[in-house]
Order: sequence, then C-alpha cells, then structure tokens
Amino acid sequence: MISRRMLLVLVGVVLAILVGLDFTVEHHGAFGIDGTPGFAAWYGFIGAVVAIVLAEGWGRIFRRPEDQRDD
Amino acid sequence: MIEHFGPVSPAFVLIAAGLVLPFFRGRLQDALFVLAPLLALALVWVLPDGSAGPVDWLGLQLTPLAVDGVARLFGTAFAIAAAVGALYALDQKNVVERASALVYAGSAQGIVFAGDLVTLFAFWEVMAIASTLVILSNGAEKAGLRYALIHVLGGVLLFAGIVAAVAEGGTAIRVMRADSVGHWLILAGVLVNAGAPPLSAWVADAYPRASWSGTVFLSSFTTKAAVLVLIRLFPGEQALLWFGLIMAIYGLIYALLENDIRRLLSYSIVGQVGFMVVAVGIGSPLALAAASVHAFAHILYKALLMMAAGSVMRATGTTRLTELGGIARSLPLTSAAFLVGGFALAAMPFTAGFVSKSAIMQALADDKAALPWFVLTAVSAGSFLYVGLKLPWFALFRPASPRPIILAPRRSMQAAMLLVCTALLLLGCFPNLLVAVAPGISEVRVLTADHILFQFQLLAASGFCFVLLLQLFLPHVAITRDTDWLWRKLPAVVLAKLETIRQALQRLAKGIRQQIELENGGFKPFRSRSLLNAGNWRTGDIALWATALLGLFLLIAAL
Repeated sequence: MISRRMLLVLVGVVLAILVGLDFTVEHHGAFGIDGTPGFAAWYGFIGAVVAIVLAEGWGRIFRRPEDQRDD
Repeated sequence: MIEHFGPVSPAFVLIAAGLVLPFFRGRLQDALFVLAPLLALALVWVLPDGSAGPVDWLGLQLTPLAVDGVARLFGTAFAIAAAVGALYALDQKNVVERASALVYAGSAQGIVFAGDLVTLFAFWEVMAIASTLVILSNGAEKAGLRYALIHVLGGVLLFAGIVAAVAEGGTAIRVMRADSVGHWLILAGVLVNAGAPPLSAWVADAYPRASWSGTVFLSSFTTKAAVLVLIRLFPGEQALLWFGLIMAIYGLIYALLENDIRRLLSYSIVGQVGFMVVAVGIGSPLALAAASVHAFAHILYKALLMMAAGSVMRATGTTRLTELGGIARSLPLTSAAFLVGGFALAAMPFTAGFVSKSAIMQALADDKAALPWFVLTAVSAGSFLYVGLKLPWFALFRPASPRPIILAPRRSMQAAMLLVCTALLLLGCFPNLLVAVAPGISEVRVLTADHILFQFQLLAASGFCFVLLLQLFLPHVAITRDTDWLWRKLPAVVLAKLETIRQALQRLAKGIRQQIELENGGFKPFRSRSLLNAGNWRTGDIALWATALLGLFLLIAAL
C-alpha cells in the first residue's frame, strides 16, 4: 500500500510531465491565456481548490443531521 | 382518423406497451418490457423526416409527429436508455414500476416528436404522472407527492404560457424570446423540469426514493426532455446563460457535499444539465448541436452511474459513502461501471463525455463567451473531484472491511452496464460516430494533441488537489439544506408561529370575555347564539345548490 505522500508525489510527477509535453504542441486558445502552455494545469488546480473551499464553506453553514431522509 | 396520423409514433408504441404490460406474466412480460423500447428505437430511425398532419382537433391544428435531426438524436438516446434500463430491471418484478417506466419513456418520445405546443403539453403531463408512479411504486408516498406537486406547478405554468402563446400565434412550435408574460410562463414551466433554481431541490429529493432500477429511468428522461424543449423554443435566450451557470455551480457544490451516491448523482444531473442550458443560451448552431450531443452522452453515462449505484444498493443495502468502502473486489463489474461512467462525466479523453463537453466548450470559445467558458472549465475540474475521485475512493477502493453482498448483480444487470460502458468508450474513441448523428459538431476539434493534453492536465491537477486535501473530502453522515426547505420545513415553522399567536389571542379573548361577564353581573352574552341561527345553512349545502344552479344555467344555455 502506497502512502498518501507517495501518491501526491506520483500525481505531481504525472502533472509535471503533462505540463512539459504541453510546451511541445501547438495551441489554439480562444481567449489568449488559455492557449499558454500549462494553463489547464494551474487553472484546473485553482478551480478544484475553489470548488472544495466553496463546498466546505457552504457545508459549514447548511449541513444538517439526517432528519428529512426517511419520509 | 388513423390515416391522418400516418406513421406510428414511437411514443404510442411505448405507451401502449406500458398499458398492456400488466396483463402479461412471466417471460412474456419480460419480453414486452425489453422489446417495446427496441421497437421504438427502430421506429425513431425508420420514420421519414418531416411532419405528419396537421390534424384538426377542437379547432386546434395539431401535429403529433414531426421528425428532424434533433428529434432523432434525442429519440435515439431516450430509446436506448429505456432499452438498457429495461434490460437492467429484468429482476425488478414490480409491475407498476415496469408499466409506468414504459409509459414514462413513451411520453419522453412524445415530447421529442411533438410538432405543436398542445401535443407537447399533453405528453408533458403524461410524463409527470408516469414518473410520479415510478417513485410511488417504491412506496415513497410523501416523496412522490412532493415530486407530483412540483410538476403540477411546472405544468400549470407551462399550460398558462401555452394558452397565451396559442392565442398569440397559433399552436406551432417556434422560437420565442422571454419578452412577454406568456413566454416567461413557458420558460418557467420548462425550467422547473430542467431542475433549474429555485426549485432544483426536487431532483435530489425525488430520484433517490425510487427503487434500485426505477432511478435509472428517472435520471434519463425528464430533465433532458426539458433541454430539448429549450432548444426548440428558447435558443439564444440570454437568461438561460445565467440559469445554466447557477445550475452547474449548484450541482457541483451539493454533489461535493453529498454522502449518498444516488443523491450525489442526482445533484450531478442538475450540474450537467446546467452545461446544456448554458449552450442553449449561447444559441449558435454549434452550441445547440453541442447541447444535444451532451444530452445524448449524459443520458448514457448517467444511466450507467445510476445502474452501478442501484447495483450497489441492491447488493449491500446502502449507497452511503460512509458505510461503503472496499467493494471494488466484491463487485468488480459494478466498480468498472462507476469508473467508466465517472470518467465520461468528467470528460476524460476517449470517452463520449469528452466529445460532447469539447463541443460545448468550443461553442463557448467561438462565441467569445469568456465568463461561461472560464466558469465551466473550473466546474469541469471540480466535477472530476466528486465523480472520478471521491465516489470511487470512498465507495470502491478505500481500505475498509467491505459490507457483505446480499444480492449479487444479475446477468441482465451486468449485461446492461457492460453495453453502456462499451458504447461510451466506442463513442469516445471514434467521435465520428457521434458526428454522424449530430452533423452540427463536425467542426469540433476533439482528439487533437493540444486538446487531449489540456484535458489530462485539468484532470491531473484536480487529482493532485484531491490527494492534497483528502481530509476535506471525508463524507459526513448529514445532508445539506437545500431549497426544498422552503416547502418542506418553512410551512411547519410558519404554522408553529401562527399557533403561538393564535393561543396568545385566545388568552387575550378569554380575559376580555371574563371582563364582560363580570360587567354583566355574571350572565353570558347570549345574543351571539341567536345571531348564529341566522346562518344555519351549511357551507356544503350552499356549494351544492350553487353548483346545481350553475349546471341548470349551462343546460339552458346549451339548449
């Protein structure tokens, strides 16, 4: 069983390779910035972090015990 | 009259099959259940383009059957969903669910091939009734009633809007703008079925209450039929952009917070329909084609995910992530279905979802719609978190002692899941198969190096975030308060408040009465009782006589 830290390194390496490859292909960005190498990597990371932070915040306010489930 | 209807509509085949199904037993019933959707699928493809009719009915021009490319695409998706749903449900012996599922599938075809607003509305209502029966057949009475009420409300809005539209420009289905009360009513009625805010909570409230097999049908038809009607009536409507964006974000956040797999997938329906609604709001030919193709792919992968969830529920008795874990070993095919369906939803390259989502994103890029493009790209990264990572990790792979398997998945269930898995991968590897049924997306760059790399980076970054912040993804035994609080809890709160006010007033009145009695030397004020005698007609009697008089008046008028 691999540890979480190792998995993190593994995914990080995969991501780095993908970004490296991204420098070798021709881009067809429509808005400028989306055509720069590695855009999807950093934007995807920020998007995912924002999503989970938003969800966590929303959950802190509106999460309730399961009282409505069985009717 | 029959010759006026011309070729047989797939809708009538399915509805008729659903109505006669309870009279058959055993194998014969099974055969009817699976073959009727296949016959409908064949009809979708042999019907010639163009419309049959019009038929004159009560002074209205009706076109019950109108065939075009969009109708064929949606009709194909609905027929496939019904066929694999029926195959999957062969072990479901509940006749009410089977019959209403077929009628439900038929009503969806009816909406697809409706050539006028009145036919559309008729099938819309059949759909509401049949889908309610699918929920009720599982014994979920309260949830079924809530579902029915929401759809009655949507139906009333749609009906009022259609009456206004027919008065204004006849029964023809035509492109509208949300510029008059009538058109807004139609838009609102359709958006209720699409799962748009503020009533969006009905999706996650109702769908998980159906049986393990019923949810597969529910996840396929209602919301996507609404998308088709939006494509027909409101292409390019600006308001849809905002509705769609809110739906995409709402679906994402609630799915991320959800613990129950089937509720999670229901929220995810709203999120994915949001993508389609945004595309309809853009309104360019590419965007509309992209919305249709995304609906097609979504019907397939969401049916697959719901089948996998149903299989887990049937096998282990639960779909809560907190109670699952490590079931990949005991349910390998179901787990593979979760992965393929989840990857398709997250638009992993070489799945059908990648083709359809690429089409939507390119439509946004071509239209220079920067805000929707950047928001939906971020939502795409986020949706991989819940369906491609959170769900598989906590349900399938997390080290845990897996729950015992009570009922192993049947062959028919496995066959249905395998079929859809294959279809999703085939369509993903050969996008031209999808282009053949939706020529509108032929210009989309799908399997190009930069595009594939883009998507893999997005997903890998999302995966990195998941491993990094794993603690935040731990499922909780809880639900997140949703807009259904407005109609499920608020009335009780208001009634409780009113009750305390009433009691306070009663105490006050009692005090005053005692005061009056004291002033009258202890006598009760009896005048009020004699007044009551003047009103000795009961309300029921009055209503009865009023009805009788009205009836008499009608009779006289008719003579």
